[in-house]
Amino acid sequence: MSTPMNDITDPQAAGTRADSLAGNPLVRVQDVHKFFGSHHVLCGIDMTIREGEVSVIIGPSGSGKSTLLRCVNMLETISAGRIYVREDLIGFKDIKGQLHDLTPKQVAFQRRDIGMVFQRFNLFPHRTALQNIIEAPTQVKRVSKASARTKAMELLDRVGLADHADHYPAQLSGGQQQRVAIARALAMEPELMLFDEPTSALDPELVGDVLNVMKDLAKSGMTMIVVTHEIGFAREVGDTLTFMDAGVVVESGDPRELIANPQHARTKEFLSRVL
Amino acid sequence: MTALANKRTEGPDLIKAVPVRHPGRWVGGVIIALCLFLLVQSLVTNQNFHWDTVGTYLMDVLVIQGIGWTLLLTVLSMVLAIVLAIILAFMRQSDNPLFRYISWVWVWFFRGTPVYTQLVFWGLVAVLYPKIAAGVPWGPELFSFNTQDLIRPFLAAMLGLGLNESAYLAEIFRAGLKSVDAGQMEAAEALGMRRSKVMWRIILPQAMRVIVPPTGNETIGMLKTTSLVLAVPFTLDLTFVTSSIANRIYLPIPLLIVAAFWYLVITSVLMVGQHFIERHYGKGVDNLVPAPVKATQAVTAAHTTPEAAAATEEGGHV
Ligand SMILES: Nc1ncnc2c1ncn2[C@@H]1O[C@H](COP(=O)(O)OP(=O)(O)OP(=O)(O)O)[C@@H](O)[C@H]1O
Ligand SMILES: [Mg+2]
Repeated sequence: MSTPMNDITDPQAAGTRADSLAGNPLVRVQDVHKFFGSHHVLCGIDMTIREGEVSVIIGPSGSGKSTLLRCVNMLETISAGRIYVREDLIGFKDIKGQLHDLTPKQVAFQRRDIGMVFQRFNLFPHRTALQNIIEAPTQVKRVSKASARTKAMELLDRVGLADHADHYPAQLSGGQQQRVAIARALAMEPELMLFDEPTSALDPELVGDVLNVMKDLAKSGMTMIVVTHEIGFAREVGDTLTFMDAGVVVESGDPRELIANPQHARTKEFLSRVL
Repeated sequence: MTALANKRTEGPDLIKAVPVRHPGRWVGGVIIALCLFLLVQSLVTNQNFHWDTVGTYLMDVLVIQGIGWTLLLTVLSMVLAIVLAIILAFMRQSDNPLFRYISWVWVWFFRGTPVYTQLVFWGLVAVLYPKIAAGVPWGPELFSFNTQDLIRPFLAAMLGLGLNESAYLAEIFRAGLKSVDAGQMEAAEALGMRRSKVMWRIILPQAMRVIVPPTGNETIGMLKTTSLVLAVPFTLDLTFVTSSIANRIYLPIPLLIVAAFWYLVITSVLMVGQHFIERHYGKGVDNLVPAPVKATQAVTAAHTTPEAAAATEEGGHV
């Protein structure tokens, strides 16, 4: 994050960049598998994301990046393994070694602390930008409308859209919509933010605004898992970079190190295509 | 730079093109006007229409009461049907297989039997279950015998129409819910909202855009289906009243005109209502007004042309 990175010289230490962060592990993904029918989409993923870490995931289409993110906030159920956020087992309750499905209420409760930003924004089209942002705080956390509004205006200001509060999503550009979507997720004060290709649906000239908002967010100490094809973002903002292919983590480490000096042939090939 | 500025302040020569002429439209219009004239002439001069009788009965007390009952039946059975349809559509999308099954069977049954048959059946419930139908179980003392005799067929008619309609509306609502992008559910759930809340606050309002037009259609259909309640038998609705007057005075045509007139009036009122409901649910999607403009933007705009700036200032509100 904001810590200068010149102290890392040893290539062997590249993978330990995240370990050097002060934070405790926030997300622990342990040997996670996911099947869609007989299709083995995630094949034993292990990852640890520490508090305040920006973890960037790259990989070819169909490699399971979105599926992994969706498993972290229970939009998909994992088939094997464990995911913990802090000490909470995600998606299940462990009663004497036997896992039990969570009730919808418990699932909703776990999701409160995890914000998600989608490739296609998914703003509520019948609500203005401001209404989009106050929806969850007022409905889920029962925050008063007035204080939710104040907070929402601060967030809109933070993403540079204070004067677009009363616009409907259809009246906003893609980049503006995505920034509202980020503000909407932040309104729930999550401790973890998931980004699934947040800039892939945007015109090139709109990408920068969204990335800047994400950079600011990273600077403020937010823990983020970012699936993206923006290698520049990974290099500049990422604390760790993970390359996934065909449902496995091929390699993971310090972004600059990994980009400059990929260890695996598949990583090399992928990077040569996107750089 | 200055060239550009000049271009902006001068303003362009607006195109004043001669529009394409449509002589065919004029010819067609004349022909239609002629036909209309002949039609009106025949309506007025043909004594068999008995316009004086139409005039006499248009505002007849019985007719007006008939309108009242017809309206009441339409509104109440539609309300019943809409409430049931929302429940049925939600049940159909539920994770609970029992709910899905019940909803499917309901639609299958009520859509699969004629409404006339159902109305006759509800009229005969009293025969099947005399005890239940003997009176309104709570506070029957409040009603005299006469009103009870009136309320029972009315309830039967309302139930018959409402339950039958709920099956059709359930399908309309289901189609509406399905028309909403799955990303909406995911986004709302990712924010920690419960499914029921998402359905009610996020999915249904968007689905209403798709649901309202066919529901308006169904409401107008219901208005006219109420004429079948003689099957119950419920005998106070507009169609029954006008046709019994017609039988009494041996003049069916003027009373048909009276009934048709009032059905048309009610339909028109319903269509106006539908227009406003559609506008409400189209918010943010249909007929988007230009985005409200902030003062700062108006100032930026002011650097284009004075006219444009004035326009934005007038149109823009905070
Ligand atoms: N709901 C689903 N049902 C069945 N298969 C699915 C489902 N969702 C994803 N898949 C499959 O899982 C695999 C991984 O998909 P995923 O969306 O995670 O890939 P991705 O790495 O995010 O790709 P992209 O870069 O194109 O977004 C793909 O082969 C996809 O077809
Ligand atoms: Mg994806």
